[in-house]
Amino acid sequence: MSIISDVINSTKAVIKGMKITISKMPQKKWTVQYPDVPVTVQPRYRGQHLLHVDENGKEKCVACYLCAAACPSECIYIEATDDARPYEERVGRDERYAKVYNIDYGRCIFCGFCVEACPKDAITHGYNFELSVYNRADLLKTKDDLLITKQKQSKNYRVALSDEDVDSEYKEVDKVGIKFRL
Amino acid sequence: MSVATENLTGQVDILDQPLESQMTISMGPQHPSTHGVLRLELVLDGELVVKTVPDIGYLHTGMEKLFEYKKYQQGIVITDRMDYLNPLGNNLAYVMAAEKLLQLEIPERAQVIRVMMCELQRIASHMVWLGTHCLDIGAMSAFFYCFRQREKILNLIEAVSGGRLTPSYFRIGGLMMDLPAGFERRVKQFLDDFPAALEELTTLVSDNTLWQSRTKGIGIISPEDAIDWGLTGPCLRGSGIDLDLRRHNPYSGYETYDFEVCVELDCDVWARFRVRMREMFESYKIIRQTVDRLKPGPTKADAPKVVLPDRDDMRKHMDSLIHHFLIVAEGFNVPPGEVYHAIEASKGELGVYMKSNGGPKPERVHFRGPSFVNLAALPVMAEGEMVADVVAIIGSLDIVLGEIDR
Amino acid sequence: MSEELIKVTINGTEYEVEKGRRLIEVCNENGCNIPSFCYYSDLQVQASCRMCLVRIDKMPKLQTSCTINCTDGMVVTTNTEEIAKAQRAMSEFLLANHPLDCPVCDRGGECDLQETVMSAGNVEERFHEPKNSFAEKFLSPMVANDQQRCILCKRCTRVCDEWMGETVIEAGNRGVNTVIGTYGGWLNCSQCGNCVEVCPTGTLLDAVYRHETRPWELERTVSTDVYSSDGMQLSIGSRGGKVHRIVARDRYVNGLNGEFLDVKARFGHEFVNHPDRIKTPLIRYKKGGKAIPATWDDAISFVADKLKDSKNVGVVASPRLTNESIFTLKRLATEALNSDNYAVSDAYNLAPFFDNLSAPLCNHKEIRYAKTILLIGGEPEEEQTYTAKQMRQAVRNGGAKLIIVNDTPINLIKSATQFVHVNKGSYEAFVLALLDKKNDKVSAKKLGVDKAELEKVRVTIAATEGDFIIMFGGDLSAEAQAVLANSAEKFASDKCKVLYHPLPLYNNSVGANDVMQGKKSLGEVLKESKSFIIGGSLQDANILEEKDFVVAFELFETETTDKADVILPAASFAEVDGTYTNNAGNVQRVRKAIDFVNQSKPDWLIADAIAKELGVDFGYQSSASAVFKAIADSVPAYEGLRYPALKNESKPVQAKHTIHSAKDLSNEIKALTERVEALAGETNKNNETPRIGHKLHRLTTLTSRTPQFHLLANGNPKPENLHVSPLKQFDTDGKAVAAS
Repeated sequence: MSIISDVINSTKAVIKGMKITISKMPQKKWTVQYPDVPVTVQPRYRGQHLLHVDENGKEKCVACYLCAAACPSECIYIEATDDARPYEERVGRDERYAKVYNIDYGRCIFCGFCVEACPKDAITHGYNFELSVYNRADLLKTKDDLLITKQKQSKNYRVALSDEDVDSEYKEVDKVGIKFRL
Repeated sequence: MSVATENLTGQVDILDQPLESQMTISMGPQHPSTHGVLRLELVLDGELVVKTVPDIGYLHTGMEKLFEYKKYQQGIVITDRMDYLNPLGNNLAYVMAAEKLLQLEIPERAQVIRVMMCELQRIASHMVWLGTHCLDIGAMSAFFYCFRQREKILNLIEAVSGGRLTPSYFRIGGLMMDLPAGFERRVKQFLDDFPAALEELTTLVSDNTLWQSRTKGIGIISPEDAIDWGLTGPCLRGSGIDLDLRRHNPYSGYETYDFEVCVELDCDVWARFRVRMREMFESYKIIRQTVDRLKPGPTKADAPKVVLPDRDDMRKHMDSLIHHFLIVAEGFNVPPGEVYHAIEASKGELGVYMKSNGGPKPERVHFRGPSFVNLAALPVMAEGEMVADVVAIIGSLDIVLGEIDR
Repeated sequence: MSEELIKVTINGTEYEVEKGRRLIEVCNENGCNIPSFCYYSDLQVQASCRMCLVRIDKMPKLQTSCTINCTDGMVVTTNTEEIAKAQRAMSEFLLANHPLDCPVCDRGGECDLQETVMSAGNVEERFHEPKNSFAEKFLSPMVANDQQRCILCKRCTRVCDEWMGETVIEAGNRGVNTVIGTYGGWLNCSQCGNCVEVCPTGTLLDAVYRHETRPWELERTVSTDVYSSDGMQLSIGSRGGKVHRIVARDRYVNGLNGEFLDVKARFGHEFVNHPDRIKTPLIRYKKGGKAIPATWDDAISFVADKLKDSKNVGVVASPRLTNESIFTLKRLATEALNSDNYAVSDAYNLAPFFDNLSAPLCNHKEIRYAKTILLIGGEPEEEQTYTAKQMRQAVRNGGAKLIIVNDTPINLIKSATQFVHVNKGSYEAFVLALLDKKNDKVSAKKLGVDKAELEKVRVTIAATEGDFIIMFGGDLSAEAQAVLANSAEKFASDKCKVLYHPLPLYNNSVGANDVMQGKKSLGEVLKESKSFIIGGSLQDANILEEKDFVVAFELFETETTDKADVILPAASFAEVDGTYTNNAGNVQRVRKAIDFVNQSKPDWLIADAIAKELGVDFGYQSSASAVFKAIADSVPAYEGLRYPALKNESKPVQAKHTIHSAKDLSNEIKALTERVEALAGETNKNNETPRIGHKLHRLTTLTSRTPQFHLLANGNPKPENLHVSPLKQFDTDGKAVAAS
């Protein structure tokens, strides 16, 4: 093959490619301008954990240690204790509750096994994925950071509705606010 | 001379030759086109590659040892992190090995969903391969279109399992949970768009003469060599050997699906490229079939001593609560024995050797990683080629260092 | 048990077993595991749980294997679908009324019910009726109770009756309403906690360890009891440097005591991590001044400086310390300080006993199968609880004859065949009478008993066919001990083997006597020396007031440390490696379960550091096993022992105490006779049976750190609200706390 036909073929290929590229230009952009625009996460997304409370604001966790036993990365540390006071005065829903509940996000791999293990539906994965800190020690989150009543909703993500097709609706911002999976 | 070459006595004579004619250079471990932290010790004569010595281990994490300290069900998350482009395939190989030991029967729906998710994952994995392969060779724009398709699949995987890169969706005895509502519709939507996207990529890459001239006739490995070096997957089929475990040693009901095993006879980078491109379309065909086959049914095996009970049962029944508690806390005992189970992962044969001593933790888990074995054949392909083609050959092998170093 | 071997076929395989063995045990030993809740090898059979059903050929129905003794030619099947179905059905019944409590229950993870349901259970559940419901409550400061978790195996009632002889816990009501309960709803017993130990579910729970952690989180270390001289084996459950609980051994392998522990061993472990532990070395630079914290280096060099020039330094070791520590303290005295003033701070000196020992010490198993037991003084059910349990079972299950000689009608007399109620302080007269019939007249007078009673004792002893065990408590004089220890020949015959069993007060009294050879009496040492090194504390520290320089190794601030010039924080039993020797002469390992609390160090390491500072190196290289090797090299009774030889706590190793042949003890007998004759002989017997636990529940330096012990010591008051822990309702003086 001569050099000339080579050049022609190559040019053809480049033109073909450019045609596709140019044809995409007027189309809708796929890139999400995070953090200016919130990203959409799926309902089952596994982000930072939430410790739930019951309808009266009592912690659901009974410190049964099943989450710690299920955890493959051993990032959950619990200290259980006894709270003999009547229900109204208690911290937790049950007599037994977690005095200390720490999750080390330096170790957590967000596998969801703790959620699967929890017999009281006390722990679920939330949606917060913005966990970067400047100090490694800050990755250790205590009960105060994890309780659903203490966590703040970040403006940088929204949760898709359960049967919503996220792919085509990237840019829509959910005005409804927080929707936590229960 | 590096430690790696010191240990290889055969190479010493070449490396010891005077520098005037030959030059030894390190490619990687920070080289962008070595797909991670692979380091190649190249001996060059001018621009010709005389010797290639892959130096691996920069990503070694001791995963196989780690399995011995985790309960069977906890091991699933480790497999996610091996071939991180094909985590569901790894999940599948691992859980199927354990299921083989436990002699579990998996319900139909779970099987179909497993196949569907694995084929989606295969497309995602091939998309990353194609994107990075193009990038390595110099075609930039294909990369974006590939990753867009992958993004769609990752969204689907996220919708199913909650994780994008590390789904850990399969469980020993079934699935983590059933598909979310509306998932079939979304898969269909993805499938509707996919052939066009694939066509677009074909126009961009396959039909491009520049691309063809960079790939054709490069990195040749003969069928005999391919077998001798233990190549599997698209690399092997690119050398004209018709071997696909989905067809020749079917699992998860693959024998019932209608798909073609793609074989190319050219033995070069182009052939391997073609195999993968065609395979994506075959995967698309399989997913179409799985969507049609999805019937309501259980997604977990009827094995109360292994599979976690239904959550509603667990809240109401003492028996189920006890089973839930003990399976989570102590794990389940797996009958003693050893098995090898292999699946066709996106990169080739992914085999799991699992040995149980009767307890809740495996005694030994070993993975036969396709990337690792395929990489071993790199010197055969690369020697005698130009140094710029090494990048193309590595790309055509489709390696993931997470799996090689484990 | 008969030695005759018979043939039994289990699941098609023929086994040779001893005749009369329980079928369930034979099956379990041969790998055909049979689930069971109520069967417990050391207790009478109950057959209430019906889980151990097996098919025996030629019998019409499924049989409970726990009630069947093996007979020749028996053909047993354990693995058919019929049996599995029966077991599934039984477990369904058991769970029908069981609350969904696993996440809250402290037993979760080590629950027999969970394990059995997992292995033989049914996931299908057909009872949907509402369950009986009771709130969880407390039965005592130590025992929590959740009635509805009970599966009515009655292990607790049998343990209470057979082991402890207390029968305070019983089943009440009928039918589905049957529950385990106590008389008056409150447990007034010795609080041994054995009912908690044997409970297969979470019905009876340890209230001290209540809602703390999970069994799989705990690191288990097998160690030896630090309180009683029985040397009970126990398992320390620790997590992250904190001792959370103590249970009798692991739950599947037996130490010498099986699953038996007493209240102090089981619940008295809070002192280990108590905030009052001495944290750093303290130096009191001025007499009567304040103790100032110092570094270890400073404190050791300060001690060495002060002791360098002192002559005749006194070294006192507590009988609670490990053999290693006592031995090193002795070497510190003899080799580094060139002093022979060393003693054990134990009022009960066993030296005359061991110097004249004429028969071996008996171990606890021999007590269980003894034929005659003579107990002179002492109160084993309060101080050597395991010995007492074995005695009770020997009488109850083995038909042994128990003769108790005591000035108080102790609780154990309920099991006694003969109780010789003697005057206070007249035990020596009994020893004299035992020695020779001709002393009967004078002895009987001094003892305040009839001559016939002494004769009866003699007849019982003479009629013994089997083991005859002589036990004695701590009130015998040196002469009486020597004479008693040397008199084995008098009682021994072809049919009767004589064994001795001293009842010292401390966990390592016997070991202290063994390893601290050539020790003086405590009084002598305290009088002669001006400077002291004291490992542990003295009972009466007032004498230290006028001494020049006192070093104390202690865990807590005591009277001794108040008067000490240098206080060095010692490590507790849970933090050290070492050995204790119990009253049966068994040398048993103490193992390190947690890291040193605060800056404490083992006593032997402190003594070693002082010796090094004084220029003497014992060559231990900071290794406890090296110390034990040195002990084995220098103490004949421990010859050849090493730590690896003591590894198996199921087979305790007995120290080889020298057995002396009959000696000429005429001097001692003469002295003894004189002393007996000097006794007043007035009738001054105690007629009141002491309260159960009057010694066990006493507050000591160590037990007072467990807050529950304060309630026990104050008479174990019943709180108003049983659902709330008594600790929250009473202050530590046992006074009710006003509800906030």
